[in-house]
Amino acid sequence: MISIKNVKFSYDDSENSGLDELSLHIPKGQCVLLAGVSGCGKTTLLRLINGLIPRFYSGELSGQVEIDGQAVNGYDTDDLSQKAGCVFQNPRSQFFNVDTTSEIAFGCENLGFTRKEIHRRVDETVKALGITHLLDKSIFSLSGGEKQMIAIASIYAMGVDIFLMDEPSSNLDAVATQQLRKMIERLKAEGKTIVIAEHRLHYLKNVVDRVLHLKEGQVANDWTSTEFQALGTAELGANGLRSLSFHHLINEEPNKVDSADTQLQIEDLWVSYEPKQYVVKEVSHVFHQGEIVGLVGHNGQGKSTLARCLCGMVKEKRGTVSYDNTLMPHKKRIGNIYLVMQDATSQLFSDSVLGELELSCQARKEDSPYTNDEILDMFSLSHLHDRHPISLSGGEKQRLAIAAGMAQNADVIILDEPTSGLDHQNMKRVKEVMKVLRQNGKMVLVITHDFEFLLNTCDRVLIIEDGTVRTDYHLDEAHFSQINKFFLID
Amino acid sequence: MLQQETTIKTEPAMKKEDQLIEPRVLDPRTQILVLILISVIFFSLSDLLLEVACMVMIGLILIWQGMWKTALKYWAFYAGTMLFFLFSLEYPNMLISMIGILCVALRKVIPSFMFATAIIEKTKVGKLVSALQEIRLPKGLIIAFAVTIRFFPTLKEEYWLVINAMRMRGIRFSLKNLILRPMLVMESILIPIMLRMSVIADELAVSSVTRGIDSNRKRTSYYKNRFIWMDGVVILIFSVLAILAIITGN
Repeated sequence: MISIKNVKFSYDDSENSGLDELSLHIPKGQCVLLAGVSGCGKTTLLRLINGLIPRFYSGELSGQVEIDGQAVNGYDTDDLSQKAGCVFQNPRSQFFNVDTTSEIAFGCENLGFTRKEIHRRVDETVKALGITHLLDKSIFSLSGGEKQMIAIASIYAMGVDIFLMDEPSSNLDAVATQQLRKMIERLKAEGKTIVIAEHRLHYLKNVVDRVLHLKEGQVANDWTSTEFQALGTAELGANGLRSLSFHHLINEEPNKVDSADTQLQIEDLWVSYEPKQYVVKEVSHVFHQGEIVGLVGHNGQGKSTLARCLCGMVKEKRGTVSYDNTLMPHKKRIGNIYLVMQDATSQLFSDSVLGELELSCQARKEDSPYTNDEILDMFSLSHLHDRHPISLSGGEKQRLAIAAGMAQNADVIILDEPTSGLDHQNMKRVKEVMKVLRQNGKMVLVITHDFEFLLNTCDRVLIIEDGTVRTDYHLDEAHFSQINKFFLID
Repeated sequence: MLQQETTIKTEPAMKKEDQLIEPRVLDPRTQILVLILISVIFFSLSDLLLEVACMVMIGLILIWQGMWKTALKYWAFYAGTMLFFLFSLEYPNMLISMIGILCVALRKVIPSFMFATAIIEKTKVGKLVSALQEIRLPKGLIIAFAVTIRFFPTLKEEYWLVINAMRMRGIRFSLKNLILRPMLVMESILIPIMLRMSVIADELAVSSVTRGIDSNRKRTSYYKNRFIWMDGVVILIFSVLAILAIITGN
């Protein structure tokens, strides 16, 4: 049982938003979804419940947070860690160990349980969660979904009653998201209390008992599951929330283009990292200018490798890529086909926003039709021109990375998961940016797991399976059920 | 330890052999001790014959652990440095002598690297941590050690990510660029990596704190280390070699 009374909190570094006179009560065994735009206080609320505020994040705190009738800050930290456990957003950074068994045992080891007890708990955990097959594996060989299961198992083994999850699906594909959903259902069936902060609402709509809509640090709406499911997309959208159903998003008339337009042509492309083990095989496809194409596929099916190869980072074993009827060997593609990475931090190298574009000017071979100021304007970055790229928000970094590609005269822009962890409004912003790119004659490909974004933005979709293009169609009414099935929706 | 697996029917069948046969590997405590003894043998400047005997023994351990290819590679490399050293004595020449000296230095460190390879390849980090706990090293040190090991693969991933991103932005990690624009190249590699690492480190810290890493209780381990007869044999042989090396060394 979690009870929060009149809690007010503001972070010391005031950039993060806090909570404002928030009160709520979560009975034991309830599964609660926290929804709301970025910065509404979802994460802050989770941090209060597991005591990370004020233990790890400092700020001004008033009011009461209680678990089972005892104040959270009154708990011994060892006891608290056995009450409430947390699964975090990034599956890569929450692991302490390099193998799965050690990771599941990690919390128990820290708390000094006997070896026999640890073995019993690890055993019980993997059986209860149905992940016996994941024991004794390298963490680095797991998929994103499997990593999240290990994260859940690790706190399960400690015997926690309350599972807190902070955007657990934001890095997961459709299959992994469904695995996560099943896992949450198992926990719920065992009577655990579950609190999930999440932007993607769809996969949880039949799982949660209650939805708390947070707004500016307060509970704006407290919906039951039935009330929540009855909400229309318009209403959700007005509150900055993602959709629960997708059919209406289908584009009535996707942008169909003239086949005589400039093209990116791929012919019989094969890529392998190790001899004879082809990750991408016999891919042939023609991309047209003016189309925004979604590349979708489950993890490990080769879509990232295909993108890396198109960008010239990996050399093809066989086949050709040509743009505008000119052959583009892999070295020529570097910089001309430009990848915007999931975390743009890795691709910004200058000490100011404008400097970033100047760096691109040095790299290009011919003059750009746009001045740097025009490009900054295009992506609404003008007011930030002398800021250090590190100080920008995630969305701004992403736009700057795109702008740098623009300044570099890239012909094709590929975006890798541009909307992971974004709320409704920020997702729409990414969509606008992609339209800007299209208007300026760039060819846009986007790798995405985000069904809502795909329907919202793309004209055409390629499904990559087993290293090759399995299907390819316009995102229109006629193909809706097919793509729906691929994303395992209902 | 996981023999009860058989009762579970819903999960895909596991490869039983993988689970039940303990891989042939030395106890982590033995490994640490032997690593120290090897350094003693090679830096006590004693007889070459002792060094060769030590190399043979390390190779045999690797072969026992099923790493015969690695053993052969290291042996060949070791023999190569010795041969080149002898060759450099025959033909005194500035460059050849310099490489000859390098070979001597290499000869001294090859055994440690060779044995470390055997440790890293075959020993689970969990077991190593458990061994360090058993020999009562301070907890802070052990945690630092475990985190370091966990960061290597991450560092490798981040490094390639940044190198590729640089190429795409027209900054090539080439000799020419390293000479002409060294600051740009170094900055471009280091800053993004350090930023990303600091984020990962923060998130890792938070995730560990919620799982009791700073608990005051005595840390225990999932793994149990057991000495086997081979540990005794290995410790005995390397101790004798080390004692001989100290006696005969100058």
